[in-house]
Amino acid sequence: MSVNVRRSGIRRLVTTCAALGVLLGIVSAHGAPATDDVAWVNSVWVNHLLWRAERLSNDLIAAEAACRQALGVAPSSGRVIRRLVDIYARGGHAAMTAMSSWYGWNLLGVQDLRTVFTSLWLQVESGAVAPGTDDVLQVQREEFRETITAAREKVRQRNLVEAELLLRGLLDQYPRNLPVLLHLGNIYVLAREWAMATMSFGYAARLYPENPDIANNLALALEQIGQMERALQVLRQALERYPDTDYLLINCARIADPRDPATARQCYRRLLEFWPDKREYRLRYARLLAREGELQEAHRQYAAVLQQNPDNEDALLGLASIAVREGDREEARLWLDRLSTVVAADQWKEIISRPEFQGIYPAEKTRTQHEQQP
Amino acid sequence: MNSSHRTQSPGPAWRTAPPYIRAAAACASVALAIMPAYSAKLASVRETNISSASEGEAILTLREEMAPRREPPPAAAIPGALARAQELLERNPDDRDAYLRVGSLFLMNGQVEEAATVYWWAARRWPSDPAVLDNLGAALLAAGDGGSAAVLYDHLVAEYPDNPDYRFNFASALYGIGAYDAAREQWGKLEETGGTASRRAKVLYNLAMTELALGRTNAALEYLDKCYRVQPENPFALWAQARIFARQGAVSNMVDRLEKVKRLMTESDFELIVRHPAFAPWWDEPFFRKLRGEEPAASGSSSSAVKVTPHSEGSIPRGE
Repeated sequence: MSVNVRRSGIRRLVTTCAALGVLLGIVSAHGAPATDDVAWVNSVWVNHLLWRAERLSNDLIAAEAACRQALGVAPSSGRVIRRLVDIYARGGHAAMTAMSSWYGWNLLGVQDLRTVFTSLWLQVESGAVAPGTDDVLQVQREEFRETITAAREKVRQRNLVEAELLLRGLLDQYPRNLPVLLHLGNIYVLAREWAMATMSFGYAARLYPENPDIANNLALALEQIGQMERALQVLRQALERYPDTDYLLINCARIADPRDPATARQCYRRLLEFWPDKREYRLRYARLLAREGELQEAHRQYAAVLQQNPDNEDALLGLASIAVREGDREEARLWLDRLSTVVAADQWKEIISRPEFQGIYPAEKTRTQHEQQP
Repeated sequence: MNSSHRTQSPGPAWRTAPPYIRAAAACASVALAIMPAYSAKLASVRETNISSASEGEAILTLREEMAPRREPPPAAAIPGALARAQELLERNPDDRDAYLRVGSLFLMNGQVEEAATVYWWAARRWPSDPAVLDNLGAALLAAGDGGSAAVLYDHLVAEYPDNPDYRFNFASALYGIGAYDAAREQWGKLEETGGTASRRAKVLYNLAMTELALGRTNAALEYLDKCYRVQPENPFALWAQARIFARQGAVSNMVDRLEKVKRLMTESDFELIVRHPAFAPWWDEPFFRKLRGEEPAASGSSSSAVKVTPHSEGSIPRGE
């Protein structure tokens, strides 16, 4: 460990207190770690990355990199978000500071980050920080366009670091510029930095709440950092404004499916109105209905799939399951018999060994039945 | 412990370093005082870390029994080896040893943070594997992040209370973050467990350094005495005592210890360590003048003529 720290009693004390605070923080946050607790390992790693950011505090780029790595591991960590906000503020990046503080405020609901955001937002909205898209002067347009083109070329070459640098430079000049924000967000998506993408799209959504593309991207980024409810909320709001936007419906249905059946059902219905022949949506809808106990309607949807494709495995299996749940094992067997003609032997064996289908086929018959398959 | 993944000691490049670097190395040896006694990995990790800063190797090479030296691969070969190992990782994501090898290669290349990252990847896959966690903890320690390392080793010590390596590294991490009382407790437990002479000597030495950090100079001197008795061929306990006496102004004791140290070291190594700043106030003492090949000082220029107020016990820098 460092000689310098040892020579400085005060600094040593501060370091000690900070380190012990960190130790206590981790212990209190996670308690005694379970042996297989990956979250605990991650928390140690985030702690290390924050330590690295602190150590590199004179090198803002390196400190930011460490924080962003930490954010990738713990996207909702208040310590990480605050550190990042601090780094951007110290670097004089108004838009990035606003983005990161918005992100923290939105996820954590804490007052300090809200204060940072609102104070910056007033400047951004009023144009005090820098002009927006409309304010780009004619003489600057060419330069702006060239930089955007260069950034896109860098993205094409998968040189995301340089592309981001170019766009961040533009963002410092034009913090309300939509193309810059969208490109930046897409770079974070390509780099799989979902928290950064959430920041970028969230900030853009705040500036352009009527834009469905931004709402969609924001929702997808939120989904990737595990903020499902927030993602759904964004999509619901966007759908209120644009109820017929297909990609909003598709993503909303997918995210809502396991957690908000009512919303998912509305989305599937709407999607099937647009594309009645889209088998994938109908099957998902049928599964959702079956899961919700609406067996009759689920049966109808599966039957509709079979009308299009009589050998559809998912529909046959779904109908067999519905028949079992309705207590009609004979009908279930009929569906399973049909299923046996379209699936591989191993797959069929696995299907009929499921608890719900137990007893439908006697063991010997099961073997014979399948041996008869061509 | 998985010794197969430990890094190798750097070569004797320090010998070609300019005098001021070598003097810095002597100073750095104080920081290296708290080094793992029987965790060859951590010892070599620290060597790697320090060698990247062009200091510290001089002292480590003197303690061969603490960090057995192996010749590292040629520096030019390392990047290629890293690339190959990374390829291997991507091809065999479930090969735990591959992760450990990649981490080890990064360490050998002086890329401590990269090594820690690889070990973290491994720890995410095998969060209950003590060897993986130990490697991660050692890399964190090598990076200087005692706080995170302490959390890891706290867990390992709780899970494997009889493993002296984990406890040693836990104590080192605690010392690193300035939690001296907690470190003292862990060293104390290690002191009771015995072990080889080399191991006990290091525990006693580290106990002395911790006592010193806690401001208990007499206890530190006692532990250094014990350390010397356990391993009389090891000059570091004597050297540490000499530094303490130098700061206390106990010149005759200081000279006595340095004379003993001199008998245990090569001349060049001894010249290096006496450049420690603790001895600077006594540079005009006959002992040092003789060492420099100068004429003995005229009467009146003895230790009483040195215009430096001897350090009181309380003024000994914490953390020496």
